[in-house]
Amino acid sequence: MFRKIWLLFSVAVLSMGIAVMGWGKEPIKIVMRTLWHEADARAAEMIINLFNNTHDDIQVELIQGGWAEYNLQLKLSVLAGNPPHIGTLLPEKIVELKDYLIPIDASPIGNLLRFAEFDLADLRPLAMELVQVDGHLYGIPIDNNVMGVYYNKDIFRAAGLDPDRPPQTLGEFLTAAEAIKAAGFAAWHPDSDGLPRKLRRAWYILFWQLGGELFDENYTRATFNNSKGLLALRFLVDTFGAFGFNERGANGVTQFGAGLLGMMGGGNWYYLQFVNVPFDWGIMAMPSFFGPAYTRISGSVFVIPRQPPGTPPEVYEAIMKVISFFITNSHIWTMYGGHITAYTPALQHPDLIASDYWQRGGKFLAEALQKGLGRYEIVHPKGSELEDVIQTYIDLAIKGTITPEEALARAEKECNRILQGP
Amino acid sequence: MRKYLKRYRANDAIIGFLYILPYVACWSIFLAYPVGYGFYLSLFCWDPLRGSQFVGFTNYQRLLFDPRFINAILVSLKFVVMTVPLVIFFGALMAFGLWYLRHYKKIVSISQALFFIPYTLSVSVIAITWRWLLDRNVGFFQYYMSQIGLPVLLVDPSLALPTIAFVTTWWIAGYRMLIFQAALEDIPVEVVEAAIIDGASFRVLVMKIFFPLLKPAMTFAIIFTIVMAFQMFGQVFLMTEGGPGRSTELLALYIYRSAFDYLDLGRAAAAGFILGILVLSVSLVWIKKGMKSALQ
Repeated sequence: MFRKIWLLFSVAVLSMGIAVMGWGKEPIKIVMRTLWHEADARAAEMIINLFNNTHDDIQVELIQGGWAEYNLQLKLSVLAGNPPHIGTLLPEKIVELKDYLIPIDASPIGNLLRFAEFDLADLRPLAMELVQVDGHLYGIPIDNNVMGVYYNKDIFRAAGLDPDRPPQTLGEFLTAAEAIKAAGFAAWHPDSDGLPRKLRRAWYILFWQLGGELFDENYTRATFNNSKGLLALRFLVDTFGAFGFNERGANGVTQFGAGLLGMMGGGNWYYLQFVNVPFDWGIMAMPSFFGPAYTRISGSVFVIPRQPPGTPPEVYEAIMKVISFFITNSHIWTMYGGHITAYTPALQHPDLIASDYWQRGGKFLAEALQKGLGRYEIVHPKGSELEDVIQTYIDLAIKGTITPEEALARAEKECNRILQGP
Repeated sequence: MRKYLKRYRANDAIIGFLYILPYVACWSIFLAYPVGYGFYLSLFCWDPLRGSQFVGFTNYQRLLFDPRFINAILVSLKFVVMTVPLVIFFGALMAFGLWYLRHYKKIVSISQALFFIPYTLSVSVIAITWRWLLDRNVGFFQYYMSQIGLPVLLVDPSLALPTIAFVTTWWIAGYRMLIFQAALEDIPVEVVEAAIIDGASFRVLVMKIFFPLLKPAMTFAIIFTIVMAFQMFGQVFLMTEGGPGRSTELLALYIYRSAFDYLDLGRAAAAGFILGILVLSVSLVWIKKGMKSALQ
């Protein structure tokens, strides 16, 4: 009898011990929904798998893709009371969606940065630029994506150019482009596949390098219809016209991949598309065409969509743990996704430094960022619509349907109408 | 007797209503309610978090002053004007051709399948395939067209829309062919043979026999094509994204952009409602015209 009581007592004590120590406890499930869909999606998967394999208490469900309607879906999920725990946004869009996000420094359970396992000061200032709105922190920057120039070293050799010394100034660029053209290749494509939005970015870069600003400080009117805007647009139009560096409507990505294009402007994410092409190529930072070598940047930011009331504090803590893990392991993100991590200590990671991407020229893009040469596009609640207007007329000017003067005048008029109302 | 009849009629009405109840329920949930809610939404400046603001017909007023919206309507109308005659013409041509060859069963079966196959493909397959065929650098068709000095179709603002109209015709004409084939089979062969014996020319055959007897099928095919053309979205979205410039930005693409890119659901709903009215008006005119001629 005594034995039986002793056995029962032991079982009860053991069970209580297990319960107290949390054995058999269900892990906290964190849903992360991203808009990544190419190499970056695979890189995210690698980091999250690493997290899930090394954490028993938290498990992340990763849902990716859906670029086109992502922002609206995020909004609707908040309204429906079923948001993901972690979302990702372009930094320029935070101002548009901030009402749907939790300020990280003023969440329902206070400042979430106390759970962060990284120092905010280690995040690149350029990447931090757009995540602070109205005095609050609405996101943790993951990276910056950067536009640089891809160049075919074999074509450089064939054209008698030094493949290890790509052009840095306008003069060098024009000389190189002429030599490539003379060698029988397409010399230059200002931005990848030549879609209107890409050509718009190419124009921005030239315009910024000339010292131009697209809008006045308070976004009350467009300020690009001037001599700087015109010079930038004429240069772009001439690329496909008078200079003959390429043909109108050409797809630079296809041309470059086929080994028919000498130089191509494009985002860092094209690295993985070209990694296996059968010729020698490299990446360089955007040359200085007209002044400071500004380039177009964007990026990804972790955000926490507004959670339903009563979300337990440990969920917020888990969210920050996941974000911290991602940030502190973001050398993987750069190596496999191509975007330049915002977490500067990760840029020193030996695996990244030894990687093909870094050696091929990814480091030059990071250097440009460190020098503050990156510029974000339009940061305004109506930014998407304004960009659409600009790209429409830039595209028509490049196609030769309207003159550059007409393009800028029409874009200015329409942008002002959007900003000031009908 | 009277009382019995009255009761019988009442029962009949209830039974009749019960028969159509499932359809009415589905129609209300999936059509009437969304349309009504769409109209309701179009009267608001949509911001459910801070509270949507009732703005009356301001969204409609804004649209009337929006050159982009006006452009989208004009592009849509142009697209309808280009597509509908092409689709009807080629659909009818194929149907007549097969009717003429009706004694060669094998040829008819194979041709029918060949003409109809494009319609079985999804819009994404159609649009992406044609986009690649007409690509500036690697397009198979574009390469040969460039060799003979023809311009790059999808890059030229004046040619992009007709090109998409042609692709659409290639895609959907096969289905119209089936409609016309079914109608042609209903025409008694004796009537045609009698007309031929009486010395009717080809023109007389078409104008006096085929055309009048095909009118109901023609009306249906035209309305169906008009509605489809007004709502067209996939091809322009996947082939040109509305460009070059805005030369292919159809109304459906404008609505999509307003809703999903600019998150302006009020404006998108208003534009959607206008599209609905436009489609309804054009369809009603054609239906009325079709019925009138059918009665005559």
